[in-house]
Amino acid sequence: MEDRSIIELFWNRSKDAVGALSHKYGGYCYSIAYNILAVKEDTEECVNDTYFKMWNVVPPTNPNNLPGFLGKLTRGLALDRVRLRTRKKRGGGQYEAVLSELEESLSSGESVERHIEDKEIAAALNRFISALDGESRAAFVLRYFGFYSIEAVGKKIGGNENRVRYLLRKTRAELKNFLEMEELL
Amino acid sequence: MTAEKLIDCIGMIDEKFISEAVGYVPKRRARHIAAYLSVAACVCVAVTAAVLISGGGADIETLPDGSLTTISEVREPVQTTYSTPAQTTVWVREPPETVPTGTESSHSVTEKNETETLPEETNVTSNNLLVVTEQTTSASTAMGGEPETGTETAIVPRWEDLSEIEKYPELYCHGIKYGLSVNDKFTEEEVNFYGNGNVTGIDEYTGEIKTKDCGFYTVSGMDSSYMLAVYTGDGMYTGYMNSSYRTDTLGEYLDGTDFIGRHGFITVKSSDMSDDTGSYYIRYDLEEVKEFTEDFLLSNSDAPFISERTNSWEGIFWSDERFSLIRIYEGGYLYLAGMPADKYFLIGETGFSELTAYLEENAVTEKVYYNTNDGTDIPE
Repeated sequence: MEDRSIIELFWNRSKDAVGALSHKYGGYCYSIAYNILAVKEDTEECVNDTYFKMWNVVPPTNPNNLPGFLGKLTRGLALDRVRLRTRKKRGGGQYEAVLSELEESLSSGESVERHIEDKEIAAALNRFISALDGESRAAFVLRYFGFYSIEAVGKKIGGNENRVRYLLRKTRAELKNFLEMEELL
Repeated sequence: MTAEKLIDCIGMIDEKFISEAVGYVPKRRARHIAAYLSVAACVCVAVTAAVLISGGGADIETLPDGSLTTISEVREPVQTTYSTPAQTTVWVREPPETVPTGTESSHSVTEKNETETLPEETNVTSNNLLVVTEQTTSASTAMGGEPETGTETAIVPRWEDLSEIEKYPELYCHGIKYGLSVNDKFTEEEVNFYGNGNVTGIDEYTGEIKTKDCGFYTVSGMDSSYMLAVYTGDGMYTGYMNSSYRTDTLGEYLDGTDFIGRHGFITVKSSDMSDDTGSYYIRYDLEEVKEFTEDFLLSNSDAPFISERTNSWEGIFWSDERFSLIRIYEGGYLYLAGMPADKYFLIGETGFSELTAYLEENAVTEKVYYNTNDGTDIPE
């Protein structure tokens, strides 16, 4: 079923809407949630929360890019859940690893203490990501938006793990430089 | 700004980047076989050149993913060749103090310091990073044209700024190479002492190969030829995985799988896995599929491992032990992904027909199910 048709089902408050969404994007949502939560039960609950939230926000929202919109919903809910959960030594999925990697892009000798709106940073990130080449962009988004493991990113972009680590390391260093130039650090 | 805030902000990026990344298809998939042959020739030339340049003193090995690596002795100029069907990248890197005279330099390793003026495109502002310029050879014109060459700039941290895990990403034991798997952490109760050895890494600043003595540990429930662990502090042991690990038969793979708790199965039929246009998704009655699939898999437990496959069916199942993916390929190849490693098993044309026919007959397309935690599904 086309994405537009699925969205129309939500707008029409059809009982088939969630089913159609689940059939097409259930696995996709599960992957993002599982990458972050790494616990089956939490993941399933998170995916169901995503469907429920989708039901509540569409309408009035009319997503132009359903997988992107759905990915954001799932990711946000999974992050909320993982932050609420007591941190354990195991079972943190890719969250802790991604958090640790991104610290690299923030460590700066001269931190400027000022309040920066999230939207301002997001707009800068859009400019940064759009300037990346296709492979680096895919690797960056899969890893830091989707929380894919290094191995999974490698499979997706067609490179081995060393290649992925290299691309991410390079991109993180460029991001750090970019954020400093934009005076966001 | 904190890393958590950055993660939140990344969650607000333009949705087009997300769908683009999720649907990303490596360029190499579209290449004609001639391109691969041409690239193979390039690789041969590059490897031969690397051996000659290093005076024949380098070891060459084929990695599990098919790429070749050449590593010379410590303190000698390091020649490393990485290759993929899409691109051949030749890294030529030397310690700054041992640049051979009379040699035309095709590379540079530059240390950033406070007074140095860097090329505009590098934009490095931290004094604990290196700028490494690679010379690259692209295979994009391998259909008869001249290969494209260019440079790629990488920024790498100093050795002393790396964590212990980042320093030593490889482990060799009994001739098997294991790669660091940072997300596989184990407690003391889950590991058993296996023996002493060392882990290795490369200081990208000097090109020096570093080693560190440490103890190896086997992980409970995992084959030692698949994973070993090393103590990495805080009472935790970090796993090193052999990515080329393969079991011989489906039965060996299934030994570690608990089917009892499985309660989900979704399938998709796709004629082209790189493009889901025209695919359709069917939700099956879980309990029936569970029983049938379990019986089927166990009855085919002697199916040998194999690496070829064509068009596919795809399914996902969950068990108490694993999150796994099943693909059933035309030609009778069964693919199981998940722990401990991706697998293809030959179940034969009959097996393919039997399994897919059963799945088709038992398709439930009208009901909406929500998974529950007790192994049953409740229709909406």
